[in-house]
Amino acid sequence: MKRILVIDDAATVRLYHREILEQAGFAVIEAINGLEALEKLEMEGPFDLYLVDINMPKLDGYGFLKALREKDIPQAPAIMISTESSPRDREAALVAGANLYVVKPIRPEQLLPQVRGLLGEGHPS
Amino acid sequence: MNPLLDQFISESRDAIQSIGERLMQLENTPDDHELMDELFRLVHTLKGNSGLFDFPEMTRVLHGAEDLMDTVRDGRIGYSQSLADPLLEAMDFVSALLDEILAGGDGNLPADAERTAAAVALTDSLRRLITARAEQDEPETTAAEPLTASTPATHARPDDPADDVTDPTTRIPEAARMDAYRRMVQGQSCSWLSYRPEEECFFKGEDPFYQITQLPDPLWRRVSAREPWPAPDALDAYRCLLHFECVIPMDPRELTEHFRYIPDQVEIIPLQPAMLAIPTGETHDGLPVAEYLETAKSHLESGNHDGLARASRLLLELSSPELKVASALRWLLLVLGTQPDDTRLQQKLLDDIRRGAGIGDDTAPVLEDTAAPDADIISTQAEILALEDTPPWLPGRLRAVAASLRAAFTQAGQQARLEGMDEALRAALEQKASSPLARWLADHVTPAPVGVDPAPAAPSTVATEPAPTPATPGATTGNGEARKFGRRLEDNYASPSAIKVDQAKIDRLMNLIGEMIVAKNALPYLAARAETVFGVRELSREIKGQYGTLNRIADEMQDAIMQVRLLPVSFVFQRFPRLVRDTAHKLGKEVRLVLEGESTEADKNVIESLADPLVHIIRNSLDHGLETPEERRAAGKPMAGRLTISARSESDRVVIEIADDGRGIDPAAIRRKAYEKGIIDEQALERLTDQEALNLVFAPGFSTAAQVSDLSGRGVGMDVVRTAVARVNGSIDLKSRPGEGTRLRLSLPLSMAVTNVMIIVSAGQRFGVSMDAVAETVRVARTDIQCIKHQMTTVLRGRVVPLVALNDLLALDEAQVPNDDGEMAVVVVRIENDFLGIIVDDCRETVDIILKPLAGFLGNLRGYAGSALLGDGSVLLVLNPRELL
Repeated sequence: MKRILVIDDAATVRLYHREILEQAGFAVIEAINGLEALEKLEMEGPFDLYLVDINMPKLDGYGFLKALREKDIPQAPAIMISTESSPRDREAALVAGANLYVVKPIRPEQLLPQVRGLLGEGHPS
Repeated sequence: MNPLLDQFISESRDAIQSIGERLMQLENTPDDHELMDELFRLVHTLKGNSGLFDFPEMTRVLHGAEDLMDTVRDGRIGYSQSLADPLLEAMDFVSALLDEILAGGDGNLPADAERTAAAVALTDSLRRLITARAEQDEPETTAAEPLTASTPATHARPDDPADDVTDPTTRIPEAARMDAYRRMVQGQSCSWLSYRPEEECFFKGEDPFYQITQLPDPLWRRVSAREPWPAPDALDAYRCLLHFECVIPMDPRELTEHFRYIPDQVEIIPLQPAMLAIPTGETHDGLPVAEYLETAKSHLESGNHDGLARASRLLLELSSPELKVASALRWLLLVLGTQPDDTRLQQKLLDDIRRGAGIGDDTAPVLEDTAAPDADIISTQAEILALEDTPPWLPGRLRAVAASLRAAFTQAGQQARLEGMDEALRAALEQKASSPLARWLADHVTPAPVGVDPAPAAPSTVATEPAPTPATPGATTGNGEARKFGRRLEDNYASPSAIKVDQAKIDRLMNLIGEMIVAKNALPYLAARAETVFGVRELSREIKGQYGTLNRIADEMQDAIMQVRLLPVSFVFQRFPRLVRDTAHKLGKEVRLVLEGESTEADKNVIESLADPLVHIIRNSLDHGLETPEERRAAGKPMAGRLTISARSESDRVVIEIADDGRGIDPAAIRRKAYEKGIIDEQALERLTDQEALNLVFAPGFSTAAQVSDLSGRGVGMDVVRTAVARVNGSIDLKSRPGEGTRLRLSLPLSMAVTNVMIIVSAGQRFGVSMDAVAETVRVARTDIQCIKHQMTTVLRGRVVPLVALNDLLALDEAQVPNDDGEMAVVVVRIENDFLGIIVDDCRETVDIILKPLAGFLGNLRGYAGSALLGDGSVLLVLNPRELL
C-alpha cells in the first residue's frame, strides 16, 4: 500500500486528509509540523507522497521540503497545500521542492486524481 | 456527530482560548514578534479549518481577523488595544457560532440573515481597521496594494484530457455533436467556425457579437477570452480579446461568404460525421465490459444490429453517464440507429469502450489517445524545471520532479513515453542544472505521434514506482546514523506526549476504582466470618494478608487515576484576565490583576465547580470592593486597584484566595442592612461581633449593593457562592478591613470521588459522617454535660461546646446509650468556624466509600449527604451535619 505523509499542525485538516486518503486505499502517516515530519522520515523511511502545509510551528512547510530534498533518499513527489493563491507563494513552494501547489479548500474530487497522478496509480475499481 | 466536526470544534475551542490569551499577553508586550507570529498562525489555522465546512460567516470573520493580524505582523500597522477589541469580538462571534453548530448536532448551520449581517459588520470593522491604519501610517502602500492582488485567473485550464487545440471538435458538448451528426447523416452540411476578431475591430466599426448572432440556427456557440483577463483597473475595454466558436448547419462556402470581409480572422472546418463520434468523459478502470465486448464483437461480425443495440443499452444503463464508456455507448447507439452499415465507426467505438474501461488491447488499432497524464502535474514540473536557481537541494528537487513525471505518465498508461527520462535526469544531476530534464520534457509534453502505440503489453508498475532502493552497504550505514539522529531529535524537541481522552472514559475508570475499593472492603468481613462462623483462623489470617496487598494496590490505583483527573487551576484562572479587563473597562476602574499559583492542581470536578463562584467573587470585588481611580486617589491609594487571585495546596486541600485592596466591608453597614432585611433581629444587631457580621453576606437574600448593578449583585450574591462551594465539600470565609480591602478564602478538597467517612452507631443503626466535617471524637462523662438555657453543653479544653443528641436530630425515639463507664460518645463536627458535639452511641472505624446522592423520592430528604454501599453489602446513610441542624 502506498504511504502518504500528511504534515499539518491542524488536527482537523489531518483528519480530513486521512479520511479522504484512507478511503481511497492509501496508508496515511501524520506529522504535526516539519520537524516531526523529518523525524517520521528518519524512523519510518521515505514515503511515497508528501502532503505539506505551509504555516506550521517549529519548522514550516518550506523548511521541511528543503530538508527533504537535501536528503540522499529516494525522492517522492510532494504536494504543498496553501491558502494563498498568489504566484509568489506558488513559486516559493516550487523552489523549496514541491511538485504540485494546491490552494485550500481541498475537495476530495480535486485532490484524489492528483494524488493518484503523483503516485502513478490508476483508479481502483 | 461526525468525528471530523468533533475534532474541528474541539480544536477551534482550544485555538480561540489561546488566541484570547495571546491577545492579552500582547497588550503587555506589543512588540513581541514571536507572540504575534503565533497569534497569526492560530487565526490562520482556524480560518483554514473552517473552510473545510460550510460555515461561511465563520470563515468570513476569520478571514478578516487573519488579514488584520497579517498587517500587524508585517508591521504595517502597530498593535494597540483598539485592535484587540474587535479581534476579541471576532473570537467571541466564532465561539458563539461553534455553540450554535454544537447545539444543531448535525454540523449544519442554517442560514440566518441576522447572523450573516453580524458577520458582515464584524468583518467590515476589521477591514476598516486595516485600511484606516494603513492609510494613516503609510499612505502610499494602499495604492500599490490592488496590483499585487491581480492574480491572473486561469481560464485556460484544460479540464478535459481530450481538449486539444488541434482537434476542436472535442470541445463541443456531446449533445451538440450528436445533433450535428444527425443532421449530416440526413444530408445537411455542418461547419465548425472559429472567429478571432481583431483587437482593434471596434475602431473599424465592426461588431463581432452581431456577426455571430446573425448566423442562422447555431447548434452550439462559445465565447471565451483569448488571454487571461487583466485586473479590472488594467482592463482596456476597447480592445477585443474574444474568441468565438460555433457549430453551424451551413455549407463552408456559405460561411466563407458570410465572413468574406475578414477571412483572416476566421477558421472554418467542414465537419464529417466520423469526426464528431468521439466519446468524451472520465476513464474508469476495471469496468466489467469484457463480456459485453465479446458479445458486441460477435453481433458486429454477424451484422446483428438489434442484438448489438440491446447489449449496448443494457451496459449504458449500468454505467455512470459521465464515463467515457457511457459516451461511447451513446454514440454507438446513435450510429446504429442512423448508419447501421458503418461498421468501421462501430468498431472504433467498441475500441473506445475497451479503452475507456482501461483494458489494453494490443491487437486493436489505435485511433486516439485515451488518456493523457494529468496536465497540472506535467505543467507544474515544467515550471519547476524552468526555475533558474541552484539551491543545495537541487538534486533532490530534480529527482522528485522525475518521480512525479514518472508517476503521471505511468498513471496515464504511457510508460513508453518515459524513454530517455532517466538519462536526462542523470545528465541534469551531473551538470547540476535543470536544463537536460527540461529539454527532455519539452520534447515529450507534445502528444505522442499518431500511430505509435503508447501502451506496452504489460504495464509494469514495479519498475516505475519510486520505491525505496534496495539496501546497499552505504545506505544501511546512512540509515543507522539517521536513526540515531532521529532519536536525538525526539529527545530535544518532542512535544509533551499527551493524549486527549474523553472525560467520560476517565469518569468510568474513577467509578470502577471506586467500586473496587468498596469490593475490597468486603474482605475484612470475610476474614471475620472465616474465623467466627467457620472457625478457620489460618484462612482468616491469609485473607487479611491478601486484603493488605489488595488495599495497597487499590490505593495506588486510585491515586494514579486521581492524578489523571488533576487539572491545574489555570484552567479556570485563564479566563480571568479577560473578565477583569472587560469588567474594569465597563466600570471605568483601573485594575491590576495578579495571578499566583496557577499550576496548583486539583480534581477536574472541583476545578470546574470553582469557575462560577470565582467569577461571581471577582465581579463583586471589582464592582463593590475596588474604588474608582478618583476615590482611590482621594484615599491616598495608587490609582490602579490590585486584585490578587492565588492558589496553593494545603495537605489534601486546595486553598484559593481572592484579595483586593479596595474599600473593604463596613461591619456596621452589614448589620444595619441585615436588620433592615429581617435577616437578624434587634438582639443580634447588638450581639454580633464584627466577623460574625461580615459572615452575614453569605446569608440567603443578602445583597450589599444599594443598587443592583448589571454586573454583580443580582440579589443572589454570596449565598449562591457558598452553596456552590459547599456542594464540593469546600468552605469559604471572608476577612475584611474597612479602607484596606477584602480577602475571601476558599478551601476545597483535592478530589471528591472517594469520601472517607467515620461510621457511628445510634439507636442500633449505623450512619456515616464525612471525615471532612469531623474535628475530633471524644468520650464525655454524663456528669460533665450541663444544661445551659435548655441547651446541653460541655467544656472541651476550656471551650464551651454545644451538644445535641443524634437521636433527637433524626427524631429517633430512643435515648443515647452511654458505654459501660457511663461516658457518652461525642463526634465534634466543624461547621464553618463553629464546633458542635453530636452525641452518638458509639464511634467505629473510618472507611472509604463512594458517596451516591439520594435520588428520586429520597432526593428531598434533608440531613443526608447520600448513601454508600459497604463491603458487607449493607447500605450506609451518610449524614450531612450542616443540613441536620
